[in-house]
Amino acid sequence: MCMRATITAHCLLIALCSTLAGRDDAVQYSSPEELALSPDGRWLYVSCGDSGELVAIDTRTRRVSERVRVGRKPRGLAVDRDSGLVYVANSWDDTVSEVDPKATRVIRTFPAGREPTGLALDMQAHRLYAANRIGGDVTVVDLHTGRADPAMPIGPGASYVTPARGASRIYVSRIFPAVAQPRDVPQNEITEIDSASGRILSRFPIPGAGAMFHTALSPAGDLGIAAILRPKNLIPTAHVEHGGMFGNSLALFGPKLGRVVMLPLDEMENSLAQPFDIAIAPGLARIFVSASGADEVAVLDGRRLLAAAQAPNSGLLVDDLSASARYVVSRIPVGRNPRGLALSSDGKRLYIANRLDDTVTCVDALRGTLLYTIPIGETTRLTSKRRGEQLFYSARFAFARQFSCSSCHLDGVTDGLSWDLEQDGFGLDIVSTRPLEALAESAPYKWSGTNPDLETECGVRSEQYFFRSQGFRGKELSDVVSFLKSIPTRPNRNRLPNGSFSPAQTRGKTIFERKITKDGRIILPILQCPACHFGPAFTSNRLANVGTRQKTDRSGTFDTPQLINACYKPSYLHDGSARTLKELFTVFNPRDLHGITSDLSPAELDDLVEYLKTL
Amino acid sequence: MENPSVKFGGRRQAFRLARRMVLLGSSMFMLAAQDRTPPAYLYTLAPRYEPDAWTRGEERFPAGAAVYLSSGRERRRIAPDLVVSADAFVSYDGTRVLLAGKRATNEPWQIWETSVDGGGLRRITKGGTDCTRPLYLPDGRVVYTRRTADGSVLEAAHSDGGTIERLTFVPGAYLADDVLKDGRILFEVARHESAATKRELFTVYPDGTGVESLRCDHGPDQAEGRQLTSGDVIFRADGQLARIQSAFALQAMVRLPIAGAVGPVAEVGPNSWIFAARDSVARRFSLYRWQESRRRLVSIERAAGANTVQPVIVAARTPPRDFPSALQKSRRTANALCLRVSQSMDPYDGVAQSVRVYSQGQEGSPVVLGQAEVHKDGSFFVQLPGDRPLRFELLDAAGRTLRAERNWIWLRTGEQRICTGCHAGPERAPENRLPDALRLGAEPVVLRGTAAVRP
Repeated sequence: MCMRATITAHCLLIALCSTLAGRDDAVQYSSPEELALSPDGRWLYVSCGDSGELVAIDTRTRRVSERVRVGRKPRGLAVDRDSGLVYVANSWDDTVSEVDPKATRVIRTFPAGREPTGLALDMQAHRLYAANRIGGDVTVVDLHTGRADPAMPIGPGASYVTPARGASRIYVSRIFPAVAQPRDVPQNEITEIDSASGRILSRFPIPGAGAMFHTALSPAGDLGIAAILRPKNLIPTAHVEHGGMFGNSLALFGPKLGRVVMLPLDEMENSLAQPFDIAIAPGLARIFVSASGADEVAVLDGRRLLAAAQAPNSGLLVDDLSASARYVVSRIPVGRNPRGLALSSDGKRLYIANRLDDTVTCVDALRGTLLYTIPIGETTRLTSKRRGEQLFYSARFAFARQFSCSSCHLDGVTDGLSWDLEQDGFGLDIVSTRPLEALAESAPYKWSGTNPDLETECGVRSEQYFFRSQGFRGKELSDVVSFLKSIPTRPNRNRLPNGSFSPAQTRGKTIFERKITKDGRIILPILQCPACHFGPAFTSNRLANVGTRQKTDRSGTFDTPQLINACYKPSYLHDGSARTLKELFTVFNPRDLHGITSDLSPAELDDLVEYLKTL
Repeated sequence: MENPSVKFGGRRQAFRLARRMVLLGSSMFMLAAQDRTPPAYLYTLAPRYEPDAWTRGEERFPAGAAVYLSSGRERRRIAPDLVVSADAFVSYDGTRVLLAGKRATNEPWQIWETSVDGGGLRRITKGGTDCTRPLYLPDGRVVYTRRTADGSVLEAAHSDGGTIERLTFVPGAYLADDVLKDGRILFEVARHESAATKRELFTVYPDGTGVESLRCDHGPDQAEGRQLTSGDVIFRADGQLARIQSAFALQAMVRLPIAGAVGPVAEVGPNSWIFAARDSVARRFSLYRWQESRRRLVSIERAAGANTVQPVIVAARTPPRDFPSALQKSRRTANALCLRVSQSMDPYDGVAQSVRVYSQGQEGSPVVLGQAEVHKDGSFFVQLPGDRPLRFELLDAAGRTLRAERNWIWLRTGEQRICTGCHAGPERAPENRLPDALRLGAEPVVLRGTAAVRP
């Protein structure tokens, strides 16, 4: 009897474990994203995006010492060298947590802009800078009062912020480039802020740069290095070889150069996909670059890099895939999706946050060898979604490991660019990169709607026309699809806290749902907004012709896009030609084919836009 | 096509040849290996080995050859039913072997497959012409070299021998070398320049698209390439081994303490390979193990009166990436977009106003397909016939030739190809800008051929 009970209990336990193991939501990952060291190097702080924690690692014991619950999706970190306080950007809460690591608690919470991503401290002025990705600006918080000054406009996708020269200068980079027209060359920039005056000093244009990530400054502040992607979106995507899709590169700037110089990180057959963070060793002896798509950290000889940038022909080097041999000394394989770096002040230890392995790796920075790996969270149980996420961010499927899905769908969203995809012919059917939120409900896929499901979209189509190499197949494909269907939707900041609508939003909703024009004419059902935009994702899942065909389009019908978080898109329409929601109904709807909007006043259009922002 | 230099005397001679192979095999001896024993490997035992003979349409193994398995102290002939065998290539799971071989000496070389233990020999190719140098493709097909009247072609066939697809479309002499990790086929092309024959390493996708030089150095003679796990390609260059690395546009010589090395190399482990070499032309090839980090060379396989060449490790290894063909079967032509003609390793004086495209007519004579405008930004976009030899020539406003492509290339029917420039080199990535050729319309220029034949 006792044995039977034991066996039964055992079976139940196994069944429970099996059930839990099979449930993706039963596993909580930490996803370490950014790193910062305490002034004495004893403590390594880790922001964990998925668990909403600040983790403190004791670098002596090489173990996690403390975990402090902060806000949702914490990213950027900054450490006050005097007080030891740690600041964490809670990107989904639009706040910054001030954490006392000794007391392991949040002391204060400051408001920031929309999606604060990167942080920097000016300790002399007791100011905190937060770059807000959705807001496209920088919030400056007075740490004495806890109040924020009016935000400084930077540009779309302002995300990473770096102090220099004792924080007298603050540099901000953006993940979205400026694109005047869909087929213009993208251009990004680095914004230099004078901390004392709180004014923008200059903007360094980076022509050809798409997404930009972290920037690092030399100790003297005379050389800046930014991690950039150089998309080849204006050329038909017929080839991946020879850097045909992306140039994974660095942008160098500052007084030491006197101009901006871009240099490649890729090789001919082996790219260094998605450079993310940069650490500069004392004396410029070594420069480390995490490549989040390549699962590697590149070790660069700083002096050789500078020499290449100062060479007379340096302007030609950015498209020379043999140039990186001049300055890339080695590549260190690390964990999956390496992101933030932290280099000890003596330049001997480099820490790397392996976001999708839930680990932190320590490297001997002088020898370039792996020392040890510290588990941060769940490192053994991998759910289908997690495996899919790892695949989504991995460049190993693309020819020459040049890019991953996330090279275009940055952090699961979009790069804000329009691409000439080869399968349609050259120069035809230019299409913008779509965000991947609410994807499960938005079949069919592709702007032409030719892919009925995500298996087609991410399977055979992706490997034929994007990767140009063996892509996701079998279990890998089902894992990727599983992840895509689970991408969490960013919080919508335009709704009132209680879920109700503002007066303008209410008026806009009425316009959205109206069935008659202002002068009493009945609006044909097909021209009523909810005819195409309805349901949980506000899409009919069908093709529609809304009069937006361009001369390069072979057809005028396009997939009806989901509208969830449409307000966060950097551009609109199938080719990204509309830069704002309002342009949709003015510039791009002259014949009232995209709903009847010609009878609306500017104020009414504003109301409609205000409502659309709440979706 | 039967090679006239090979004289086979029917069944009796076949028996003698086979017996000689067995005797040679049994007379082999192992030199005292100072290192640990390498893993099992295959090699070709041949009384005579002329690695360059194929470029002249001649036999590489004029006195026969046989593939042996070396495992520890054991030496065993693979596929003894074949009177002649060579060119072994092991499957990625390490269980099967492709061979070029003959069941009778008066038959042409054909492609055969057998298990590593020697059983289950079966023929893959058919026909009356020589088929050699087989390689497994990751999709299960086999790529090999077929002798033709004017040289050779690369073909890919399903392992049952059905559905043969031709991969090369310019008359010439080709030889398959390896399948790279990224799925491309590495092959060598022989060119006859003045008195010398020069080979160059090229790559092509398994559907025949994207043909190009591995590196546009067009420098020394390059042959017998094979890729290591690191991604480096090791090959024979001017009688020594050389290396092409992902980061470099030019080859680098491998400094060896022995002359006369030939490929292909067989990778034993990190920085350790087996290859064949000989001290002088008068001697025969033996197999050596090279440990690059220690700069140590050890003789491991030598046969009295015969060459030991073509080492292949018998072990499972990571298969190359499969290549998903994007050929548009519905298209009847190919398209080529050049982004900037002046982007070249060989700068020229003048401004290109147009591009003239040639194909080959009867007996290889150049035939003008037509001309297309080169736009101000240096771009052009033309429609081309697929599966035919093509050559481009840049002309100035007066119709004078500014730069003429020396060699012929091809595009597959349905292929859409982009060139960064005219002879830009694989290290040159394209600039991200909308080319005028597309800005002004997405339709390629259809070439209206003239009867003009280039003098």
